[in-house]
Amino acid sequence: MLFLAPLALALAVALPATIVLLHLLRGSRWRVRVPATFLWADLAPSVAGHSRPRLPRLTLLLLLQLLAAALGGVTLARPATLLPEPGQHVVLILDASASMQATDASPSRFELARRRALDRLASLGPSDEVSVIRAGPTATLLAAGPPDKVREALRQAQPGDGAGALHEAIALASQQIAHTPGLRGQIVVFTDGAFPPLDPVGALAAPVEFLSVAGDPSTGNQAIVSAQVRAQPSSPDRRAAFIVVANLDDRPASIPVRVADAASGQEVARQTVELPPNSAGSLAVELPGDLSRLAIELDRPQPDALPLDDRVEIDTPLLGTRSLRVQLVSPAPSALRQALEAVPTVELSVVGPDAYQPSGPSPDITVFDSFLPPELPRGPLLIVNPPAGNRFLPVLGTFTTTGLTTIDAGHPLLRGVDILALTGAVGKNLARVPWARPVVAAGEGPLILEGYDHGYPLVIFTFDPAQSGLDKSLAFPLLVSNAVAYLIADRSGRTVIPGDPVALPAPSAGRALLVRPDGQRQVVELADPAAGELWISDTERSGRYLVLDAENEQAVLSSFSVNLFDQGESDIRPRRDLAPLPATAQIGPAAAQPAELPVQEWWRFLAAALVVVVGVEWLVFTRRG
Amino acid sequence: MVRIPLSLTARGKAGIARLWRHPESQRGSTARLSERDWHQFDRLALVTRRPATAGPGGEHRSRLRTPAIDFFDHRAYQVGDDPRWIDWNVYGRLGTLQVKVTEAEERLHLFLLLDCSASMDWGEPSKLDRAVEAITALAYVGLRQAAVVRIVCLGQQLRALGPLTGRTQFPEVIRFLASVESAGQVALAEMLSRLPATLPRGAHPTMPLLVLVSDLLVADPRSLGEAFDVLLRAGADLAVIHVLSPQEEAPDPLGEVELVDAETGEILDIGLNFEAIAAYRDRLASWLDEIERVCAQRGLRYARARTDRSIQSLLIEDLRRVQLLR
Repeated sequence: MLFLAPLALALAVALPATIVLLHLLRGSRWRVRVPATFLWADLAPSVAGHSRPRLPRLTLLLLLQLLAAALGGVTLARPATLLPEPGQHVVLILDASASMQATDASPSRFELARRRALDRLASLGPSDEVSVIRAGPTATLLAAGPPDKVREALRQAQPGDGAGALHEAIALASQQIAHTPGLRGQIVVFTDGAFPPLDPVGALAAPVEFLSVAGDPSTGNQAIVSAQVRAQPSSPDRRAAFIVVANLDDRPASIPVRVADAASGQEVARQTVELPPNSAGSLAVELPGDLSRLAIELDRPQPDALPLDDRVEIDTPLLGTRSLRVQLVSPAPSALRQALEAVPTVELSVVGPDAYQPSGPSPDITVFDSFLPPELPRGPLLIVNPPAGNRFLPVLGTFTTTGLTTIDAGHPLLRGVDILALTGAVGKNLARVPWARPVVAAGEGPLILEGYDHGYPLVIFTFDPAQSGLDKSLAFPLLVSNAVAYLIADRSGRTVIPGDPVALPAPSAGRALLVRPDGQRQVVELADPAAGELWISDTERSGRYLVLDAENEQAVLSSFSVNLFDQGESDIRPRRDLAPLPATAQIGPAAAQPAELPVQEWWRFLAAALVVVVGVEWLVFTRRG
Repeated sequence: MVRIPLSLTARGKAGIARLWRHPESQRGSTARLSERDWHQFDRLALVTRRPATAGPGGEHRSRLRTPAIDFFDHRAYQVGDDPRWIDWNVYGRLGTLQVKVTEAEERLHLFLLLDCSASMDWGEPSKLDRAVEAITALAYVGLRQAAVVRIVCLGQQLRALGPLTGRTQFPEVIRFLASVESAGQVALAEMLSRLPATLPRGAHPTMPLLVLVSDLLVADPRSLGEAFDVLLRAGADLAVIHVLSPQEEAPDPLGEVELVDAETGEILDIGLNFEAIAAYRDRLASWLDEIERVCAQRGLRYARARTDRSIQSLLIEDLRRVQLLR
């Protein structure tokens, strides 16, 4: 038995004592006038006395009064008994983001997190439930069950090379706890705090506790946060690597950057970038014409705390190596012709819709203007002003753009383009297609979409440039030039961030052999042979991925690179407030009151007893006469 | 002093009722009497066990036999009798001297004694209020029967009104009783014993009808009996109206109390519980029986008047039952 408000116990003594004191002082005698006292003489002498205070006579009425007063005091003290401790459901979330590979904590932040998670696991009983969630690019439930069952999964967990999906992991943990309402839930996140602000998770079934595994908070990091190979504006037939290096440290840094041929290891260039604290700088390196794959690394004698972002490997695009064969199929090709011819290295061929032969030589890019054939060719496509009645992009109607609502301003298609030029464009309202996403859209419908078909990239302009008057603006040739570069770049060596799925053209054999950066080989089957796309979703490791012909391993079907390229993730300094999050949903007995002991309070029963006692006391008092 | 406008006169029943209802005629929560009630009182008459002696003109049998109009009896001639009243016809037949005795009706001397002790000013309604009502009604009946009415307040000092004759003097009764107040401690037995001597000589008639209206709160009923004996020896025809409050019979539950005597101010500490209340009731019943027995032993007409009963019930039922009224 314990009392939640023990100070009120004093009332349990003080109230009866006050009643007794009042009886002593007042004798509880009322003065009543009667016609004569001789009829009352010697009947029942007063026990209260007259001249000096005396203890009141212990009558039933007094006993009831004392009992009521004591009950009132005890009730206010909130007596309670401890309930048996309910079992726990603890969800351990391991932050598996790239920053967890930092070695400022020994041996690494992730290993430290694993040890602390194992320690937490050891403190749980066999009746407790444990779930282990890895917060990599996606939140993954590694194991769930008693502590012994999940221990091995915890030991096998590895950090990732990308961002950590902590938001999704907490939401998943809340769902897990909601499945066990009889257990007291607790979510424990082992993280270094190097993550962007969390979006609101919604209703939480259990409180969230963050355990920091960050090392030295002043630990800085230098990283390659961007690298692209593009044709030089001054000489389109030559290429240059544009590299952005960030100094994510509170001290200035002198960073040597080495650019080499990834295949031969031959150094192409070496430059040193002087960067002030917390800044980024870029450099451009002219590349030789025959370079197909580029390795860029920060060449320092001692690696920093996070070597992961010190080296990137990218494929060089076709652009600039030879002329691009672009086929324009258009009934009125004047505007597009001018725009395409303005793109350096483009070798343009123009045909009318009637003369279009799908079985002809496959161009690098096919542009359909106001026309779509019954079957789309395999290859990168730019579709402009899709005609009504085609079955590939069902047209629902036309609209005039009044305001832009969705703009992916960072998309390569919009680089250097004044988007406001699209205001007033007359676009086609298309039925929603799952494989395309809008880059620019108005409230009335999409204007620019991009996506993949059979593993090949597509860009769709839903507007007619001539009708919209865009052909006379500077934005249109830039938009076309960006589309050409986007379609080619994507085909000739894509670079994705860790965790992003990659769609590749389907191999003829229906399966392919994937070679991971660490040399592991894996046969990848077509998930849907009719879709004509080979999806590779396990891209968490950074490095170069090779897709080989499953029948002939010497034939390289495609390749892509996975690089971190995330300045936020490269900034490994803890910068988030790791204050615990309270539970916000009523799940289980202790979820609603996580900070209180599980107790059974008895004050309601005592209050009811108090009412009964007071009622009996009143009854006795009124029936005395 | 209560001043009642002279315009209010007791002309007819309506006038009496109007006068009775006047605010300054009322005491506390005294029940109002309607004109119909006064009509009922008109049919009542006082019953006395003694001949009336207040002189001719009354409606009560007189002790005076001759000279009068109504023949009553014959008796033997005695020396000193007026020879004019000798019945010569009887002498002629029987040869003895017989004197004709006639009977007269005289006025009744009515003394209404009101106990004005402090104990009477108790209860709801007050015993004193109910006693004043009874005195008023009896005075009305007496005046209507041409009795000579006197009202005596037995307080710490005697206050008397009267003699009043004729109902035209009824407003005097109301004015007098409206000013009656309780007067502290009153030794009722002693005051009754001294009553024959303290009355004004001229106002000391023989054989009056005394009606005592009191709560009779005397610790020893025997002393009260002795006082009654004094009055009886003085020739009074005594009737007792015992005023009793229902709160006296059923006191409220009180717990630990200090009982204060209304007359003496004496304080009695007492713890009231079920047993004490029951014992009090037993004692009250015994005391009432003793009072009644004292009155019965002396042949007094004794009526108990509970204050929760109306004045009409008292007069028409209770006092007729004890033959004080008819």
